[in-house]
Amino acid sequence: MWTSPKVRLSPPSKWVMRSKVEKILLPGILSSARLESLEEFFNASYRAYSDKKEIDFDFSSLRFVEPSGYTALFNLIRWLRSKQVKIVFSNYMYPNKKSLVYMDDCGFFEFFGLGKIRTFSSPRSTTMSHILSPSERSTWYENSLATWLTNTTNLPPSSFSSLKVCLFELFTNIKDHSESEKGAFFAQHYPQMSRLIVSISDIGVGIPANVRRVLPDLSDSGCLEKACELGFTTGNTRRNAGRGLDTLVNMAVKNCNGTIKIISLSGYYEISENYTKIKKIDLSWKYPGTSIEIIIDTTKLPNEPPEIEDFQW
Amino acid sequence: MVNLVIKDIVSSNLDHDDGSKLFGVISSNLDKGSVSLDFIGMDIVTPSFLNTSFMPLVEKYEYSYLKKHLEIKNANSLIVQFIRQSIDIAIKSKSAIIH
Repeated sequence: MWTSPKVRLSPPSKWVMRSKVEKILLPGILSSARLESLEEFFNASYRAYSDKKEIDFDFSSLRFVEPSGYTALFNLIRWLRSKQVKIVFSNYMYPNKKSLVYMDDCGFFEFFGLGKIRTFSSPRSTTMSHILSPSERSTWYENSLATWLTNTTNLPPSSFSSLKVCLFELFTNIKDHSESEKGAFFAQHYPQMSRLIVSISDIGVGIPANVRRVLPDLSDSGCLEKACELGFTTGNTRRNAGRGLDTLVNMAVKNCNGTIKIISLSGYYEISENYTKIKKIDLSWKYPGTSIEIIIDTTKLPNEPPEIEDFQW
Repeated sequence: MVNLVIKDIVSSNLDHDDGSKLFGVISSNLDKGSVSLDFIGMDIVTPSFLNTSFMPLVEKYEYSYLKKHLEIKNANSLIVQFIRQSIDIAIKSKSAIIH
């Protein structure tokens, strides 16, 4: 059996001397729906970072990847690289393994400077990924994402107005609160299930870190719950006042009839079914920043653009 | 009455800075007379944009003055929903400060 070589990711600007290599096996399934399967993986990665070790991510066990899992791994590696951790990938160059082909098509290995597993790999019509700074959001949405959304779902651009509000605001939040320069976008459409999954994430300080500046005793999941409350603000400036995350939740859960899942540091908060179903968990591992995932049933999106309405004071 | 076309004034990012800029333009014109605010060509607004445009308007002017001198036109139902929510929050916030 041919074994893929270990490949070192191109180095960040500064290296920290690390004496040992920690081999970390990726879980069989990479998905935030299986939070427990990520625990060991994330904790091992943090331990290696704390112990100043080089990390060898071994892809041999990976069988299935979901958008949330893809984003989690992508951000973990981005975060480790931002901390100058040396990273090696092993057992990933298998062009017949579906999970790795999926990641290859999404541009995962290429992003980290390792090229493609297959020379002809390219983004699938049902997936979309991009890293962008908040100032690019409008141009990128109009020139790329809107076209992708309409092509993959056969719905008009106006069907995604509420989603557009969510995305624009999330990038504003990244700019204002995360201390991260860029956000990662990933989306996948499942045509047979009429499902659209959209994920926005950053490797910033995390929502709990901001909430605890005003409510220091809350757990991470409690911070997420608080951040989603109407009128809650972490600051006293006009920029922070008024509406924020609650609006996004409302847009996703009510206007899009969807589910919103927020993971930030060790907090997990999920709202679905028109606010009747809420899941709040404190994880035993830490996400490097914040990931917000919106799951939409595309059959429930409006087909007609919102009508012009008289505004009465 | 001055007609202000929002998409000609602000960037399409619709963030805090765009809201602040719009507030400045509306405010300087409202001080002189009536304003018609035109949302033509806009499909959405964002909470950040409204937090720094409409909310300070409600704080600065009496509601009756805005009702008489600020016309809003060509806004779709989604935008109207957002504006109403922002105005409601601003009124509550203003009332809390006064009391």
